[in-house]
Amino acid sequence: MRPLELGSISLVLVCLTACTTKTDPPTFEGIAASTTDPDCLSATLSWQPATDTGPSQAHTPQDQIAYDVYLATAPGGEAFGEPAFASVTGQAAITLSGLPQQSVVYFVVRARDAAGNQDDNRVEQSVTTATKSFFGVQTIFDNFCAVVGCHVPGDPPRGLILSDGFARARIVDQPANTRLLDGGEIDLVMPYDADVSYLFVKIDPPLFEAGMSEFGRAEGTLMPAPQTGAMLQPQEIATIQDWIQSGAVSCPADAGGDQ
Amino acid sequence: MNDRTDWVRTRAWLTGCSLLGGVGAACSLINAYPQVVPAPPADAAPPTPGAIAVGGRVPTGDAGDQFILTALDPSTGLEFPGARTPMTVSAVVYDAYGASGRDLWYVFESGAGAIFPLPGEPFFVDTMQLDRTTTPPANGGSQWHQVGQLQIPAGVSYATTAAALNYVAYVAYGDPDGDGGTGGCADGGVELPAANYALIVLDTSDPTNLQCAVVLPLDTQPVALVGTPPADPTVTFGGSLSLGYKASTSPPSDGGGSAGNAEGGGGPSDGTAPDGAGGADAGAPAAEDDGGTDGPAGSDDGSTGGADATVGGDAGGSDAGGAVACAPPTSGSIAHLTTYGLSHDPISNQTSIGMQSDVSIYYPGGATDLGFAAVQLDQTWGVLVATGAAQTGPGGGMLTFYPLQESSSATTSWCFPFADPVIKAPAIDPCSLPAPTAFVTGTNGTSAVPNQLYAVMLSPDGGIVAPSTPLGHSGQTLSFEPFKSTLLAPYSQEDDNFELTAFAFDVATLVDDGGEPLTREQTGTPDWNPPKVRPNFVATRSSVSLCSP
Repeated sequence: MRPLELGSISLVLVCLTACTTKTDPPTFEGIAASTTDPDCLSATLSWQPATDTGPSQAHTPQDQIAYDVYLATAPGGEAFGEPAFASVTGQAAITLSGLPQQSVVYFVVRARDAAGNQDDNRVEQSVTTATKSFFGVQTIFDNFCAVVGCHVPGDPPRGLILSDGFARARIVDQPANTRLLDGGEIDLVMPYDADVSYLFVKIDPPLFEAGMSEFGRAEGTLMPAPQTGAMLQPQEIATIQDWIQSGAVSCPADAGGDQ
Repeated sequence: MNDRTDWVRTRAWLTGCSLLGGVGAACSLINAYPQVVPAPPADAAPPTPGAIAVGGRVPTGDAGDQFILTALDPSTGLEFPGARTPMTVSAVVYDAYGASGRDLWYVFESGAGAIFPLPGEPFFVDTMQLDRTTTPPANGGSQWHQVGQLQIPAGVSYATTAAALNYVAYVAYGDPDGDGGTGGCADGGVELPAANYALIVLDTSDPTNLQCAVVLPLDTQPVALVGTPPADPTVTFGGSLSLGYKASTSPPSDGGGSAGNAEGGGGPSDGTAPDGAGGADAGAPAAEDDGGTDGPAGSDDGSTGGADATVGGDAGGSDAGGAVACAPPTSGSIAHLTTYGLSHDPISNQTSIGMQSDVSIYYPGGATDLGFAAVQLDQTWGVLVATGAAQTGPGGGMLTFYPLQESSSATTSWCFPFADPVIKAPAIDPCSLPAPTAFVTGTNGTSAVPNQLYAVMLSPDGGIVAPSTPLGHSGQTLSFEPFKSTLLAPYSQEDDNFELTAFAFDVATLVDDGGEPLTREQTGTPDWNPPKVRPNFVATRSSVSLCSP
């Protein structure tokens, strides 16, 4: 029995050595799927759980394996140093938000055991983020419209508030309080149809010129007013147009300000 | 620029001026009649030097803008070293009616990360002092000190903040669902009324310990709040708070009432706005109001009548020095000025509020805007209401004085050439002689005429209107700095498109020869060199002793 006992002790010693010096990473096939939220600048990545083999004292249980996410803006461009995101251990998916608008973003996900060993897969997936998030639109409003003395709470022109948190609820499917020649109404923003959205008519030079005759009444000036010295650039107009054409969605959800 | 300091120091105590840094600027006027001037207290503090408080943003490139409160030297526009303080400023009100030696600024502060909080978001009022004594002016230093702070329900706008004597007031979002929402206000919070909005009055007699004194429900949103001190200068607590309501209602079928259009004492008893006094968002007017007056006629709101006879015609043109008194309109769109009186019981230490008057204000052209400011004319406190040009018909602007006593009838109006329907709240020079001077501007002017700035001397027997001066950018707000006699016009747009513009005001030019009394200071010169700060809100220190003879 003694040799056996000695052998057992040896095995234990081997095991303990392996436990403290484990260098092999988990077995992981990498990212399996990626999806984007149609309304938001976010992506959800998912994968099959990694496995970690070896003596029971050394391996990391599946529910303790962590996953590191690396981003790049070009294929194979991930820098595998500090990960951009790390998932909670044991999860098989992660949702990333705040991604750049109208971009292709590439991802690689790697598994990491409790000892810090990370697999080296380069399985890559990509998503194309939307242009229609309200983030970009609000930024334009903040810079050009929702300035003190103009479209801010208090007594704004046309009663229209475009400040952060207020704007979307004040414009989407809201009447413009102006009338077409035929007496019809027009909304400030009609989802999916920028050309008949009064707010867009007011900022798009060709539509504004046409609108002057179509609406048959004074429509003031193109916005921002020329006297402000400010002018929307074509890409800024396009951002608002894309947002309307995509349904004038909100992302994140409206914070309120509907009073 | 002229420096008033010397002659100011020769003058005695009288009363105060509040120059709010916002559209709803509440400005008091110092009258020019020495017989009503109380003697200065023996221990009255010497006049404090001028200061300009600025709530704004500092561009920091990719890191995003930083919200700050800072203070500038009126002589040069230079920022006082040490004055810059991180703070998301929503409004600044100077405590101009405060007791002698009291030098406080009320700074409304958003805790939401944006200057305009949403209902229910964190909101505070800070009582601040600008310390120029412990940091001697010798080194140009100055520092803000927070004297007290109170969390309060989220406020709606800088245009609805105002001070009275030992009070500061503002309009807050209410709790229309009546679900017991609170927004903070003193210990344990104050339950908001089941109304869309609330007028909240804070007792500031102890600036280290502000207290909610009054919470008055409002169904509709006022566009302006104007504070005035008590009519009796011996009263140590109180004053009036006037709420301005813009409306888009049609004129009365009879074309309006008699000249003066007063409805003194009328109106609701529940503290809410009168029927028909729609809030700013209660249905925007049909006519465009963002600066265009050059389009085809045909305003469809039926509210353009009536005012032409008084505003157009001989409204003054550019013939500076000519009398421009004109009759108040008796028809047109209807707005309301609802005034409440504040009183304080020293025994119970309770504040009460009651409606003093509700006045119908007729103004031209449906979509025109209104501006409100406190003013004292001929020893009487009142509210000066500025109305912009009609969308159609002859253009013209009008300033009308509504005293807050007795019948509250409009007593005097002054007309001036003005093309922009979107007028801003007047700023007031309370010290100009022989009468106070009001400054007005629009938002964007028109496509034909860039935004103009007017000075109108409010002589009871006529008035003097100065030739207009190009503002040089869109109108945001106007504030008058009395120590250097400077009109301030902040402007903040995108990127580097911002400026705190200053105009030196020379009343002698206006009175003596009818010339242009406003001279634009060239920004970036030794005379005017403000910091690279986007100026959202501006307020000025205006000592109560400034204009006393």
